Amino acid sequence: MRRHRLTPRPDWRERARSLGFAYAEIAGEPYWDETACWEFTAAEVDLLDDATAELERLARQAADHAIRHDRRATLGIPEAVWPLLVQSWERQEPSLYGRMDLRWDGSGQPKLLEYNADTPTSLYESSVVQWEWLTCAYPDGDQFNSLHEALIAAWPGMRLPPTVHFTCVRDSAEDRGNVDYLRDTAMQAGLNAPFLHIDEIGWDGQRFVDLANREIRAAFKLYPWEALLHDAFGVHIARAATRWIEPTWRLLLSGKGILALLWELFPGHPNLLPAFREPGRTGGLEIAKPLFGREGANITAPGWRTEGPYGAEGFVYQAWSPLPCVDDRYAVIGSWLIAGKPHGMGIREDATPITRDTSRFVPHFFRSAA
Amino acid sequence: MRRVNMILLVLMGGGMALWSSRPSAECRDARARNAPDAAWICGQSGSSYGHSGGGYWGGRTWGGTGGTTSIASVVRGGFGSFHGFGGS
Repeated sequence: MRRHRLTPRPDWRERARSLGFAYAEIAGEPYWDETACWEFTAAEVDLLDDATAELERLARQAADHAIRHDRRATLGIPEAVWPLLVQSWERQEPSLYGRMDLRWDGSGQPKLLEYNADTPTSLYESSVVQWEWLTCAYPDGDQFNSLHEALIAAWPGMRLPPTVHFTCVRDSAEDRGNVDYLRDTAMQAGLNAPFLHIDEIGWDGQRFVDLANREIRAAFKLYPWEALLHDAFGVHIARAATRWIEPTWRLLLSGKGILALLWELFPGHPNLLPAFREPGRTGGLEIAKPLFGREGANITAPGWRTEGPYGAEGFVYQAWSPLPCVDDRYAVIGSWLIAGKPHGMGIREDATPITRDTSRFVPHFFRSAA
Repeated sequence: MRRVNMILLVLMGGGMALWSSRPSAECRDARARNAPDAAWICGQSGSSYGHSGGGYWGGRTWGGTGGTTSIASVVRGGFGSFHGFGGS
């Protein structure tokens, strides 16, 4: 695992634009960053692939344990919404995708930092944009990336009606780009995939409806479950027949509470870091993460603190294992799962050990074992 | 691990096909002949995972959302109070 400094392609902005990659720069700052890349060996990619599959196995076992043993307190999930999660789990509603954030420096075992199991982003750049970069920068190289074909293949297994509505908040090019890319893959899988903003969803007293007042039978929402349930329409979710993607049970895994439950169930597992709901139990330095924090907000780590609106819901305290720092950039590996199986990765870098919404996406490649 | 030789997009970027610079011999031949099924051949070859794409190749496109009854009293704006971006 090695970081290379590169000269960006002179036409990278035009290439990004032609791909419809509307958030290559965010607020005038680069988000897509090809001034560097990461090189892996095939064996390293295999190790990341295996670790991701293993962590998914643990996560599913932990979800099942949480449901069977009513562990909503550990996960910080309100009693009122628990039955929805139980029902969703017992129906085994399929998951489309998720992203595990891993700490790894090329030695030892990758460690799970958190599981973005509900609303992961950076999908389009992981799947398409960095592959397009690979074909230019390392045409003989390879990439841990079969996301595109895996997404198209996954949709039929979701057992959805012919039309799936796609929705997200307004005014976020990043969210809209991720949603439109998923629409693209759904359309290629034969689904109708209309879009509407989350605030445009209607309620007719019995059903959620679109702008033409037609029933939303299935919806992909890039909008966190904890917010969906908290919103004014949240009370209607249990009554409506709408199938949601990701399913409700993913809330078991997307909060940071799952880190504590995983460590309780699998103490000492090589892909986990010690984590507890109470401070001072890891036996060393700790990072405090809000149960439902996002984008690196309200994090307290040795020497670092970020601001934000989260934390009233409680924290998880995880053993401090700082990200590897090369060229003054801290790198986190986002390992993607499609339909529960590893299918690729994307790397984000930050000038601090806390990965935030201002972190930059840096492409990767590996050389096949010839 | 090796991925397909082509990524097809039907919405992003207005729809496009991104070709790898190292297509299979079968793919190269199909493209050289400008064969009508070149996209299919190149999408199928060279991947250890295979390539789905069946829905698109079937020629289906999205359009209407099916027929349901329109009801006059619809309330909107009940979702979306979350201040922040939805993704993470």
